[in-house]
Amino acid sequence: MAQQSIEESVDQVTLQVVNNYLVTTAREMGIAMRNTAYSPLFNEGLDFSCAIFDPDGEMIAQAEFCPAQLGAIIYVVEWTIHEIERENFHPGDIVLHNDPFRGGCHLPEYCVIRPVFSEDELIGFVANIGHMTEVGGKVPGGFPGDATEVFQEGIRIPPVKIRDRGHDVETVWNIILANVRTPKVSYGDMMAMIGSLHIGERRMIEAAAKYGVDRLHEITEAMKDYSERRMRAEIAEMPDGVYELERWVADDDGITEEPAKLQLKVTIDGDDMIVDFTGSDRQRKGPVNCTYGVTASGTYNAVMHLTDSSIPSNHGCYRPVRIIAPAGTIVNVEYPGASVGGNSEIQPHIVDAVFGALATALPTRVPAECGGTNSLVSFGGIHPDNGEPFAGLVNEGCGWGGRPEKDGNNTLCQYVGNCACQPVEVLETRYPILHDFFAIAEGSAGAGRNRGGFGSERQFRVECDELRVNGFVERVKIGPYGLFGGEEGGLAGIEIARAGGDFETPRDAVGVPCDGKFSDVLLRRGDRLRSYCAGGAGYGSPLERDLDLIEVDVREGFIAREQAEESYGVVVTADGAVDKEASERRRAELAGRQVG
Amino acid sequence: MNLRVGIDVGGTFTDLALFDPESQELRITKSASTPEDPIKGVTAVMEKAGISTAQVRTLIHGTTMATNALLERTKALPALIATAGFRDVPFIQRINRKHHYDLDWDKPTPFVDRRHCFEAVERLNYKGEVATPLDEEGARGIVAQIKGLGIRDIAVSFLFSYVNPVHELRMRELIEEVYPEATVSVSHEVYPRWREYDRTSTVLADAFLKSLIEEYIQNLAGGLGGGDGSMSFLIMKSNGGVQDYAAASSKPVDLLVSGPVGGVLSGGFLGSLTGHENLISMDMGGTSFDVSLIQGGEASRTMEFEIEWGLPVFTPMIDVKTIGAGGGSIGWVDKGGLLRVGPESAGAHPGPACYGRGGEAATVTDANLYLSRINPGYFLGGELTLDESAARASLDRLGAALGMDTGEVASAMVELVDFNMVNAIRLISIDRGLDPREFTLVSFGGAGSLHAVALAEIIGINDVLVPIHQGVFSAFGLMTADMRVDESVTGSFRSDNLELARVNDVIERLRAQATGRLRREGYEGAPKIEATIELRYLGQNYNTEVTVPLENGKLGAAGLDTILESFDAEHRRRYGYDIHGEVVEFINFNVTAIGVTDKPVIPRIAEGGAAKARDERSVYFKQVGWARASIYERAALRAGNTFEGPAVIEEPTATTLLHPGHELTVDEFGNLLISPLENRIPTRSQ
Repeated sequence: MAQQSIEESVDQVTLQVVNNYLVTTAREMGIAMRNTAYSPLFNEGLDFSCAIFDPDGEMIAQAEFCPAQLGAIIYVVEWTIHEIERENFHPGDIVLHNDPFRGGCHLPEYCVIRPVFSEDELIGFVANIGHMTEVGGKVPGGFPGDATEVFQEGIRIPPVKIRDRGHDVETVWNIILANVRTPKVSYGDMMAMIGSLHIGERRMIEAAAKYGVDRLHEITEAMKDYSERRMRAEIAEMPDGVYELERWVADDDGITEEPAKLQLKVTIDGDDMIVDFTGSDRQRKGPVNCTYGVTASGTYNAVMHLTDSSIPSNHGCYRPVRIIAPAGTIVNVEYPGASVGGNSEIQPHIVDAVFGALATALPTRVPAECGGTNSLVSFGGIHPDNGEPFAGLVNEGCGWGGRPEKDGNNTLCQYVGNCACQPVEVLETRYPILHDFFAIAEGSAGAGRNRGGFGSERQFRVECDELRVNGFVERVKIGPYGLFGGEEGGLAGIEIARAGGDFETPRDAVGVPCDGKFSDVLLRRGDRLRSYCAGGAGYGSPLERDLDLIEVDVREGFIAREQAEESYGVVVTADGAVDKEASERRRAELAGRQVG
Repeated sequence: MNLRVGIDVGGTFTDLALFDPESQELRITKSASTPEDPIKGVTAVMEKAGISTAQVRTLIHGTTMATNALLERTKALPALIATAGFRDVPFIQRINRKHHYDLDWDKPTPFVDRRHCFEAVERLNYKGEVATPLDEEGARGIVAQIKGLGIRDIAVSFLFSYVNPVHELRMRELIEEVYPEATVSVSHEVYPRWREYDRTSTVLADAFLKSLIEEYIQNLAGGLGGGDGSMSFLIMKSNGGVQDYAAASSKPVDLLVSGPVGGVLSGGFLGSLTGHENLISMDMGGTSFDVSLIQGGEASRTMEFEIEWGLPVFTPMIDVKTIGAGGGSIGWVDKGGLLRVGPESAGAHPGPACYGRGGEAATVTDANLYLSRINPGYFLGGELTLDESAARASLDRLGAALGMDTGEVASAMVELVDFNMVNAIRLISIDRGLDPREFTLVSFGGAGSLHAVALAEIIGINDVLVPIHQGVFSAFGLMTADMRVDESVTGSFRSDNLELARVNDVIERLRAQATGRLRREGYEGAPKIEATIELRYLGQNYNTEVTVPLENGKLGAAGLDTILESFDAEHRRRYGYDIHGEVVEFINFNVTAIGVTDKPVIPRIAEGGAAKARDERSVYFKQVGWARASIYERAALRAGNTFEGPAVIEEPTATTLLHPGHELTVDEFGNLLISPLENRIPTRSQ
């Protein structure tokens, strides 16, 4: 056999081996982070991401963490290299960065970056970006839903060295820890982030020792080319054309009730894709704006969902996609606009908007819209059992949209996150709250031939004298869109009950301007808070849904008999069996009404 | 007679190993498994070995029954009784997903139907205080409903039961009162740790297995006539210890890796016999590759087993990592035009193309055959003649899609499956912060020793040990097992407010529990006791485990400081830093009681001069291409034989490949020790 082509086959192998090695390294960094971090949002919620970069700042590997952060981290690292300048990096340095106006996604996202050297040569960077629960600013736990400028959202940190040649830069630490409400927890979390870099650095140095610096670089270049080649092949398979869409992407902005609108034009031209947001609304006063990094991250995320998920995720994946997001709009906020919610709550809608634009081009791939919200509730106060300050952020799973071939998944983090929910036993051990329930929100799924998934709902009582609460919840007014005749998914929301009283919307209960976005509502011992997360929208007409599937949904208690009849035209008897004849009549009746 | 017998029931074969302490004889036998009625296979293999239960003093059984039942879901699901407001915990799960960007992925289905999840009115707070008392009338009503539905197995999972089990214990009494025929698993007994999803997922798996395992073990015991008291019938647990069969169904999640654990124990036993304390044990069969790590003679352990991604079971077990890589693994081309191998396997039916049973896909065995590493006339000792032209045709079909010729495809497939296995080895070594280069690779299973030297070379492992009886190595390991009970409890001590006496109280309570259980499981001697504590800095949620320095079963006055120092040091070693002086929480206390048993004695083989090759043929090796290799018959080798690669060592159930530049030595027991001629890589990392 020919020696030459054996060598080529070995190269294929090397490429896969090095790719796996680096992905495993990123994963290992994440496990170390989880195991050592202090805040439940990190060690249970896993709201952080680890990634590895080449010396040019291009991402070469990531593991399955939070996609939103992974989309934005490329700009954070790029900006850091640009601002610090390559020659100023030294072994043992660690840079800290959270500035939304320097490539960041939103202020609570702290990124630590470590340059990696093999002897004296810079061979790359390892980075960890994580959502800090408490970041200073106007309220504990971040997420002031009514912020109007970045300064209210927390302390802003441009790229600065927090460790210089292996030594802590005490002044920087002191300034940061003096500006957060839970310095002990924040210190533990930042140490965990930094610790994870140590592991990434060690593994990269080992790889350089094994392959040699130049050879390693050649291999990682080949990895990026490989991903680009596969991404282009996937785009080339999509039908050429210009696909436009206009869609609401925010219920309101926490200040006024006016919703915000996205304008989108996706062009498929051979193996290139252009996503143009020109025409989207001007940036809003409240914190629903996206940084460019957030918009790009949401766009890449959508494209990667529509292509083969086994393509190694690295810089090469991004090359075939061009993004146009005019400055001063909700998709590219200008200084000093508020942006804390853009990343978490608007970005999922950007993914759905790109999906929506391509729905007719790719009808066998695009799902109906997902619940698209994390139903974020953050809070803080002093714990009555130990006198310590605390801050928490609770995230929820929504229902995903019905798919071309099957139903949407229940209670999952929306597309741009992959955060876990925090166990009730952990939340109640750390924070003075007591849950009444944490459950699937029955009936929340949008009806369809393939229905959406169900969202979740929780309710807890306050067990301290004062709990300061903030809300950041999308889909309170505008539900997820169905596809090809599928129905809208159920809404999300927050309700508050004073001790012994009934539940009311936040507007009715405390007079805030918007029900889903507010800050610093004071709850007292015995008050209750209920939050529910949106269900996914349906795909295809509910009248075409398989009768057996409806029987199962009713039997398992996911939908009520009344809903089966109203939305699906299916009559289920009291003993749980579908009455086929009655259902056919009912469906014909409903179909007639639809036509009329 | 006083025989000690190990019987390992696998998917294809039932293996038996026996040791006669009087004659010091060691014997092995293999016969076909009978999945529809495993007892038949067991009696058949005993017949084949020529023994009856009357001659057996101790019979140790390893089984994949529990794992297979969970993977295949072949029986009715249990019912769940949860705290009011929380019956959806198994369905909500943790809301994260396995892969990014995969719209096709489906959340795992829990081991319970939602309509069979019931809510008992009761609530404890995080301190274990009763916030809402258990509504006993309502609870009885729930049990009556479950009884009416005819559901046999019941799981109970209440919030904070790991802090205070009072409501779970009362719930069990109510179940026993209303529905005594039911089996009951309560969460604080199965997994007394926080995180309600983890605990509920574990207790559901336990309940799912309960009636099934109870029946299986009773039938097996009945079939063996084990009830007459003359023979001790023991079941292998995932933790590497054995227990009396009658106790096995009390916590069936303990049997999850009962099957593969035998091989790991064999590795450890043989390692200590031959002076290898640090071992990586690898078992490569037709479909899967199991790998484990033994350090300082101790198998490494874990608490977490995933039935599939997102469905965890937490139970103390030997850490066995399994991936889909074996002789039957299929080669295919991905969308990007890259060659991939596995995890899909051709299995036994149709099997690799060369089996001639209608398989079309090219498998690793086909590749090995084309590369002349396998002798087509000596597969399973000649029971099956391999079809070389079918292997070649399958490789050519795959090659056409890749633009490669037969040899290129075959060698690339072997390399890729090697790298998949290397990754699995990394997961249990490098990912745990251990350097695999400091370990010896022990290779067994039908396909293992064809690949072992290549794996060692890639990772930088110096020594490869190919043990005797590599074909029935797991059954052999069963005979070497000790009895072992692991007990643990969640505490909540802080280093700034710590009393030595209270820590000792907890350890003493666990010790009493563990030795009590060991006695109930059939051990009569004085057990060996080991203890660890899992600690974390106040605020962290995950723990670091530290060994407790026991003196006469107690922690001495300086012991607490030693523990804190070890914790800082271990944290530094794993994560690169410590927070010295920070308040440390003592979270979980673990005590292990070990009942040491008699071990078989391995006979020595005759010494011999120079080994004689039986044959010679051209074999493909990555480093040198095709080369003339000497072929040896393993049974003809003698202690002290030494020869260099390229060579192939053939035995009926396995083939060992000796690469060029490597040397093989046969030790006094007949094990093969393979090392490179020159140490290319330092054994210690810098």
